[in-house]
Amino acid sequence: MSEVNRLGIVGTSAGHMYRITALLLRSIKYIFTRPFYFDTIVEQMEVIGVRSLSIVLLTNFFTGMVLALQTGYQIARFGAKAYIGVVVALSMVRELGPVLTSLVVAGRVGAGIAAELGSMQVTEQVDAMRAMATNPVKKLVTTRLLALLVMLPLLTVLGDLVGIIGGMIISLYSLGLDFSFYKSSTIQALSMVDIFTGMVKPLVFAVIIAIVGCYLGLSTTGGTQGVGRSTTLSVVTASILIFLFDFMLVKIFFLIFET
Amino acid sequence: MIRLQNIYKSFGNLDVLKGVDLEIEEGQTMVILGKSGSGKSVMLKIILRLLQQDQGTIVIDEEDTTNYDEEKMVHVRKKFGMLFQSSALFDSINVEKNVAYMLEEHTNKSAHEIAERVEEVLSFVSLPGIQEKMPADLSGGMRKRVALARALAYNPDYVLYDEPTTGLDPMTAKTINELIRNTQVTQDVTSIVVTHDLISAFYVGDRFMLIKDGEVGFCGPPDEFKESDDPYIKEYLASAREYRYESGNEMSGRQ
Repeated sequence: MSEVNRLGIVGTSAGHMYRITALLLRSIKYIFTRPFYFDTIVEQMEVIGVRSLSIVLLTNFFTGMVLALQTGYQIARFGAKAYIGVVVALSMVRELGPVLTSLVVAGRVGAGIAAELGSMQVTEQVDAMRAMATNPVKKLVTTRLLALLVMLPLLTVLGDLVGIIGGMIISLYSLGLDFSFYKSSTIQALSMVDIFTGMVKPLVFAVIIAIVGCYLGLSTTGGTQGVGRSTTLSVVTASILIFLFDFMLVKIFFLIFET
Repeated sequence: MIRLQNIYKSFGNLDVLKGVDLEIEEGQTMVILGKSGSGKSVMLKIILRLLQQDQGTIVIDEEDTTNYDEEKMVHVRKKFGMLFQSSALFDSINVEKNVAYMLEEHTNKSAHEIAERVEEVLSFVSLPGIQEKMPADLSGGMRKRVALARALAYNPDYVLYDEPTTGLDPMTAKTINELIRNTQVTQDVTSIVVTHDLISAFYVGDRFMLIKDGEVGFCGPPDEFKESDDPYIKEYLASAREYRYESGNEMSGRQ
């Protein structure tokens, strides 16, 4: 790759980063200014949250069960089978619940946002909105950002819960553990720090999913083909950013809470 | 009154507008003509600042909007209704919500008052009773008429039409032309119609402007345009006459 091309890519990426950050700051600013579009926010909460519920629960339930199965048989060899509840609860709440829920929502909702806004962009609906003296960032981006900020943590809590239940079912029926022991070890294992760190993550991931989906949707060019491109790119970009920010957050949490 | 002075606009290496001036008096209907890709639609979008010009001044009702940002443009845009080339109806909401959009966004009118106004403008475009339909259920001509109803619902001072008859069959195009003329007569608006359809242009226009190679090739009344000795205009008219001969349409000035 030539130096010029390399510089071009760096320049383009920096440009995207700048515009994504600018979009994020503007949409946050509009949270506090009139009009508030409560109806649209509630509608988006239903589209984003309620309709993602089944797939989120299913994913986390099976993950909890697999986690119990995989680790159960391994740690049984060291006689540590009793700790299975601790492993499942900590893994689900601190890591798997937030990340898996966010990845599922990025695939379902992030793609949906990019496709919807992308179609609106290429069919002049976004221009029509501006021509009718409405701010599209406020109407389209801020509402979706707020809906995700509310719904993704809720989905994560429910996801964590069914993951733990999934792990419990395997532990009780397949690994032969006692229910009251499993319950008490799970409750004892979870500290406030675990729950706090597990709840900060979906807030950050909600911002990533909303802003990446909206940014790519609103910057769509090239007709229906462009809409397809934006949709795919939104899932890929949001997923990568979720993993990246997950790593950085874990690093930060360890620095703050474990020292 | 809308006044554009010395407007330049380019996309990448392509210079679309190279110093265009345009002035539209109150109550007038200005038709902007030109070949596809000549920058006609770009001019409409520059007026509303949906696109940013590279150079030049925009004055609307004695207000210099040249450097206005999105927030400052809000009160300016409220004076306008725009009919987009693709109609640009919002797919996710029904006809009633589409037409009522500006009323719901910018007024405190009651639901009943809004519903009445929606019914009124839908009747004006001869589509009463379709409030519940979704845009996807409408034909191209109906979408244009609903889009016109939406543009008129907020009682605009100016209506901008971007290729209002493009892609429509001749009969539907005629209906749209009649609606544009009715709008001028009954709604007391100043209009700009961007088109390459000369039949439509002669039917609705008070003044013509031709964009040629990014500059103003002609600006004046329709009769002067028809009798011009300019070779480009003659060629432009001749192409339309061939079409007229083949299709049997007549080009006539406004009565």
